[in-house]
Amino acid sequence: MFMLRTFCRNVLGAAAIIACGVTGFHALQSVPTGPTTAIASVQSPRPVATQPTAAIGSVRFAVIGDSGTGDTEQYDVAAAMAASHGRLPFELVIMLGDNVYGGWNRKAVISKFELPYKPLLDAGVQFYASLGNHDASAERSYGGFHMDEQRYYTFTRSNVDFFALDSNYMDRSQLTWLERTLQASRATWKIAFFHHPLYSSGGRHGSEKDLRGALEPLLIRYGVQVVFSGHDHVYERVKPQRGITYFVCGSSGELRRGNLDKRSALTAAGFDLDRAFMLIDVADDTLHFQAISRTNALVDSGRITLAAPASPAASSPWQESPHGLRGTENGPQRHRDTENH
Amino acid sequence: MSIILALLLSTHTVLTEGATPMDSVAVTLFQDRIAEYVTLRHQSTHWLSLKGVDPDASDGVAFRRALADTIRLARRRAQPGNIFHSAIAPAILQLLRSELAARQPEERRAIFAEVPRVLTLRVNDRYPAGDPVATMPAGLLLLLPPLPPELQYRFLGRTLILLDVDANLVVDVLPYSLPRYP
Repeated sequence: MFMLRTFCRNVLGAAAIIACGVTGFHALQSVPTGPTTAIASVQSPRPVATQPTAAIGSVRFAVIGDSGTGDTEQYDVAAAMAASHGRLPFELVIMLGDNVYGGWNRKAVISKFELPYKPLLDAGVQFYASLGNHDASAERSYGGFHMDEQRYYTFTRSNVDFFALDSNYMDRSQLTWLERTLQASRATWKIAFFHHPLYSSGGRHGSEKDLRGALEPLLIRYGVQVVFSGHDHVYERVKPQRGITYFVCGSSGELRRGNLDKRSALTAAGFDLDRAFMLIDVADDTLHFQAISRTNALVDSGRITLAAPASPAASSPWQESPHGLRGTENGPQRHRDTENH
Repeated sequence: MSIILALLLSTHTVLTEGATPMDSVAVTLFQDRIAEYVTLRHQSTHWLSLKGVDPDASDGVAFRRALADTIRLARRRAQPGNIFHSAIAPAILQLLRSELAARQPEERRAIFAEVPRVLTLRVNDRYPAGDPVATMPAGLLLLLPPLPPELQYRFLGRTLILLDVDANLVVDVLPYSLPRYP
């Protein structure tokens, strides 16, 4: 309950503290909502509370995918992100690919990135991009995306290591790099992001099984806890798969309305009625997430908590626990659970 | 490296089940030609830097265009098969067809769904500006001879191409690589 209260205070604001303090997060779901969702498993959108106070020592970032349309809706999402940043600043944004549709040129960069996110850029927020199938390779050279000419790269914030991958072209050299880099990571949290989802209930594309076959063994073996992808133009939180929580956030510019498979057993929560982005707050052993719509409504939220590492002598790195793979000193440190609020 | 090794071993099994392993001499010749291309490319880059073309100007767009023009000029006589030479081409075709045939129909559909439809494609063409790049199946990439970072395999229409990533230039083509799948 303490953590719930902390999250409420930090992210949802004073009004939410009362609600959490009395009844917990589930009470928030009854707050008057935005548009009705078409997905049974989706939480009803609800207004995002205002005036939270900043947490100290946490890593906060936003997530956008398939954003670079240059359309009004992208600007709306960007405005909602700026509003969120005004309530609770985040230091970076990870981009899940399809950052600039329709070709790469100066005019496109301005209208599909620099203008919509100007308030965030002016506030010093840094964007870290991964490449989608609609992105030009020249994006690697663009300073605003912090790719440093690389297709795949890693960076660190506090106790979080981020791994940006190029899922368009998962060749041997990238897999070798990823294994080496994950192996060397000592961060508490390992977060991977790339364009194509290993798990998705999107009707247009769905799960990328070929990519999953190449990537998933590494993600599991080296303890990646959370993966963000786009490509399907919906928001989806996938039920933890082999100890990893997957998010699809491919509706920050594009949208395929009603495209989530309503019968999918993968979906923990989803939203396919409007554009969305995510806010993430990582503090110590807990990662809080929110998915927020273009109209600033909260469409999903929850937390992921790390399990305490098991004794190295007690179990092998691959031992299953009721909540996924249990970690050892050298093995994967799986998260204990995912709770939606 | 253990996971990668396991992956490579498992993909090798796929290869031997569905296709003849590539002849090492043919692969070596292919890689030699790749190396020749990369050398030419480095020379082109060096020449552009001597000319004072700023790699960072206009977010690198001008440099990439100049690089494409320079390479195109240097390879103006390049023909299909210069790199996908006659010994490697049939092996790659066989590999592609057997690997794709082994997949479920929905997997094949997913692969082909995003391949841009192009009727004619020639060596030294620029990759169509603004068109998406078709995602290359990871399992397939592990079977094909590895490439240096400057080059990638891509599908365009029914053709497998060698794409210069920075110059956005079609370096070689292997036409009709992909069978007609529904």
